[in-house]
Amino acid sequence: MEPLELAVASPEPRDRLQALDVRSCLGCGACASGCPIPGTPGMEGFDPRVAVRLIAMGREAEVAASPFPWVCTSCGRCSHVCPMGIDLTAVFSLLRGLVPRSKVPGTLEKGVASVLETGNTLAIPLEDFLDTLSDIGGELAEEECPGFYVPVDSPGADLLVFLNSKEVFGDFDDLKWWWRIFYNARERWTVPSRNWEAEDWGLFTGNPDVSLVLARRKLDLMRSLGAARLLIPDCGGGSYGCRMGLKTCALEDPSRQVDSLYFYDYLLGLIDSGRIRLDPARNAGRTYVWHDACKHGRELERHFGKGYYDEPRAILTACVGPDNVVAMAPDRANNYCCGAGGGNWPMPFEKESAAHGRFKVAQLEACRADVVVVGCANCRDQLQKRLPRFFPGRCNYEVKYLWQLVAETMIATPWTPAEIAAAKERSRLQNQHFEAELDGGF
Amino acid sequence: MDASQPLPILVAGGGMAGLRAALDLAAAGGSVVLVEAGTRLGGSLSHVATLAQTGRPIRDELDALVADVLENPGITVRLGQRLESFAGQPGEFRAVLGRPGEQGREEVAASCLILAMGSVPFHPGGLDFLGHGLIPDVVTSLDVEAMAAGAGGIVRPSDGGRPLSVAFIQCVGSRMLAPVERPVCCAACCAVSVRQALAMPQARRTICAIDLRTHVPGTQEALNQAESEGLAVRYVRPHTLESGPDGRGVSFRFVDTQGLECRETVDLVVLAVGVGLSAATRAMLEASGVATGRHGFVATQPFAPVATSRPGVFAAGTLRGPAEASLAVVQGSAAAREALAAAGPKTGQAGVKTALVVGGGTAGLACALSLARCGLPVALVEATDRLGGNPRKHPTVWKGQETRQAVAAMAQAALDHASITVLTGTRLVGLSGQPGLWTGSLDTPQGRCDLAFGAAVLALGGNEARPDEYLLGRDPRVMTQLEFENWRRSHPAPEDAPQSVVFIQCVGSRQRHGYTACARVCCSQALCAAVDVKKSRPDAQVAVFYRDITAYGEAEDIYTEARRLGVLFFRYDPLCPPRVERLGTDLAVTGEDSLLGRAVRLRPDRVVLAVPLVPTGVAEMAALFALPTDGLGFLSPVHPVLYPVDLPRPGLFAAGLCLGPKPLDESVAEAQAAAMRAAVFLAGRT
Repeated sequence: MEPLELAVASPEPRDRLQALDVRSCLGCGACASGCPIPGTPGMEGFDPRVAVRLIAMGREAEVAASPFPWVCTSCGRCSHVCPMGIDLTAVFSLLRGLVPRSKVPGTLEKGVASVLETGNTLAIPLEDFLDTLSDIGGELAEEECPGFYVPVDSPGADLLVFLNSKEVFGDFDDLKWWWRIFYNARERWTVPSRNWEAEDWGLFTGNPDVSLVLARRKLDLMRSLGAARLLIPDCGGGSYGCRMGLKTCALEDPSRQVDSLYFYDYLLGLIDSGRIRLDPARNAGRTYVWHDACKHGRELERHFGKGYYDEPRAILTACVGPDNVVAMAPDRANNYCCGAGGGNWPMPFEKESAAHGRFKVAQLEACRADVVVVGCANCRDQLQKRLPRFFPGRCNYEVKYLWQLVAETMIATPWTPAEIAAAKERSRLQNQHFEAELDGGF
Repeated sequence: MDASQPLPILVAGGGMAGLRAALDLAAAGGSVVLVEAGTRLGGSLSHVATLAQTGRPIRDELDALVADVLENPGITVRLGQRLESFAGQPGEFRAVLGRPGEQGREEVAASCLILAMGSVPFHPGGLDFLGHGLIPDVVTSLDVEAMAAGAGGIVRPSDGGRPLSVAFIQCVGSRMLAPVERPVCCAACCAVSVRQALAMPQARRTICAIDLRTHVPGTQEALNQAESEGLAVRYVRPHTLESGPDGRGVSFRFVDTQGLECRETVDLVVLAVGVGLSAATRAMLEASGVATGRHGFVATQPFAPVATSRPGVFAAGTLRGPAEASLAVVQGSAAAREALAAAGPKTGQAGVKTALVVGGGTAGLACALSLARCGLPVALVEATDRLGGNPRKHPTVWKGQETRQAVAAMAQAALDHASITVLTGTRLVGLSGQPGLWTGSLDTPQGRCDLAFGAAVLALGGNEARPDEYLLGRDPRVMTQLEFENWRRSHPAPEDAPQSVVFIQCVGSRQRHGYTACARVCCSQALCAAVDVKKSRPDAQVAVFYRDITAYGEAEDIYTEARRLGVLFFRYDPLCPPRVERLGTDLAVTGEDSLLGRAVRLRPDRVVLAVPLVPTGVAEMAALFALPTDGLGFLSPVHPVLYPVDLPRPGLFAAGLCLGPKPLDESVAEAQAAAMRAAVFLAGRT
């Protein structure tokens, strides 16, 4: 092969990449050694060390044109050990942003266009959204939470809550876990009627401008609804992107700072203060393991100074008792990604995403947990749906959301007839308001 | 206390640097208070099984040295006491001593201070991916030394078995900015790992390194031997260490330079931990107003390597930056010398013999001045017609200082000094007499004359080798590093800076045969030159073909700066070095990018070769004084660590490049150390 001629006027890495100090790379390879991409079929020749080397040589277009930045799950195991402290996840995310929008894989760009236009990635219209909340809320009220309804645009709420669009679209039962918790805790909560989506697909397409728009929308809703606190949502992209966006917004304009509460702190607060009560005996006889989502632990720690490792474990322990908790190795800041991070649940790189998860499968096998408890919707789907398909016979575990476990362990405290009557009245007024609005609007 | 009696000199720290300083001071007639916070003397060397420099045990020699100190009537040893702060000025310092963990304080008066408290190892527990403290068979390099020194030898802790496989992980707590900021190279750890690998011949051995730095003398030869026994050096850092099967051994995954996913299970993983200053030392420095550099170590200047920001206060050993033990000992002697001079120069001691210094370069000048400052008569003999050595011929900037100016000032000071007789154009051609009572025959421009002298310091200097490689001497665009420096000096304008320059490292050094050693200074020099070109001309293409970037100690900063400025680095395998050729009128360099797995070609304006420094004039001096030389033609000291500037005949000492390649600050420290050792020798004979 002819040698690669390095011209004298060699290109310089672009400014934003330069600012991330990629050229300080020592080439030590710690990133590559911790990255699941080497050894992934079809990804031969790609690893973070090579990618950074090409970028440092000004050849970032070569990397951007490859599947590497997309197959990368932004798990951050690379950055975690980089002796130069290079924020590699940010580097690869920038590379996603260099790709022409028409070349963004799968449905990601369509989702972004949709969220910008309609307020959610799946373009669910307001009427369908309200119907779903009403139907599923009604089901829950009948089943076990008399008087329950979903407060929408309720002014002056204590907690503004955002929803995951795939649950609103089809995974309806998953909506109920949180709702049961709010019900039993007698939370004064609300969801917005528009721009209600938790996720941040700008993070997935490497488009920080989109992330900023989505964060601004959340801030505007906080203000217009007069909510006291924003509940930072669960999904990895949602929670992390939301925080990033909030941080950027507050940097732009300090008056936009809002009070927020991470859902782990919220749950732990409910348990510690006695607002909800748990019956751990219900979970006896099985073992449970906590899966640290990258964006809730390692990446949060690196960018915001604190990773949420202890809080979910405290919640898990409160639900199942200390004797039934087992651990994966490695875990906490050094944990392996499920393989679906960085948008790899909806993206088309299924085989690569599953191969990425081979480490997770091995970890789960080794710890022999009956139940793996997660705090992220993409981790859940990956562990529950994708990995068992690609690793048949090896995924002998059940997957539960942490808030699902809390809801299942919670001792029901049904509302009094007076509470139920008051809620029904509020629900009636809310329905009336939206019927009028929809009639007027259509 | 009698007012005419000078106060003692306080030496803080009972490691090698402090012991050497105390003994030298006492031998020269000074009174010393030696303060050591620990319960015994000996410092970090008392924990090592073998010396990194020699691969041999040090315990007996160290015990003897400690006994010498304890028995010396001029030295008061205070164990279990720590220097907490000091105030005052030369001649009248007040040092505050405390006992670790206790309330009481004691004040001690001192004329000068020598700070030699050393450093403490990095604790790797905070690096979760390395599993130290969780995985029984992950140990530190210190643990290995302790095991090797003990009766049981090196075992894997989980079951006490002999390790049949071992992996060393270098740069743990050094050369890193995150998650903890410890940017400097700790200078000795590569040598230690190579020696530890050699000490486990039964085991399959791997060293995982960023660069394997073999600048510590003896290390490259040890590495060659270990590699011939099967040691594998891998340029990779493992990510997650995990317990092996049944909790024994250690498993890890790594991705090699070809991008292949590899798994390894070994009996033992050794973390080569770096060093830093202890919290107590940092507090003392801060409380006492001693300036520190950007990495927290005591700041010094290249031409005053043991002087601190406070007059009358000197520093030796690793608290002034990571260093191997021999340099700490050199600095101990040098600090003793400087402290004696500061404590009160003696003038015109009757009956003291002249000290002969051979060589008028940096080391010779520094040595002559150091001797003369204490009133000793000096004859400085230089073969050429001018003083100044390499910095005069090839001026550079080293650690921010213009070397030519600094050396010119030293030369002027020597010429002006009443106690120094400068003889240029003069060679020592004959010798008679015996140690302490020599008569040399000098060949001067005015003819032959005799010189009686009691001690001699050989500071013969060195020069670049000129190997017939890479078109050197066949194409004017190919030059050595010093030639490139000179060329840059004569073409100082930014537009004169080359558009494209390629540096090739290890040209004729680190060989299997012949010049086996690392030439020590060429990586730092190449990096300085590369940074200089990039700064004058940011769009210049600057590339370095290297084997291991050996920017040891605080020189690591220059490497980091060079990378950040966009200097390209290509590691080459010595079996497959880059090729320099003429393609048409172009000068072309073709090599392999080992990480990309692709051949790359550059067409530079200049190719700069890192050729090794070789000694000059050693053969004839060695013959005259009947001295041994090493395989490379350098003078051999009595012991590379314990007596690094003493030659194997009484009254003979050496400094600078004739002992081996080294940067200027190390040469100056050796010169001051040699002055101290010569003064001690002469004092013992009056």
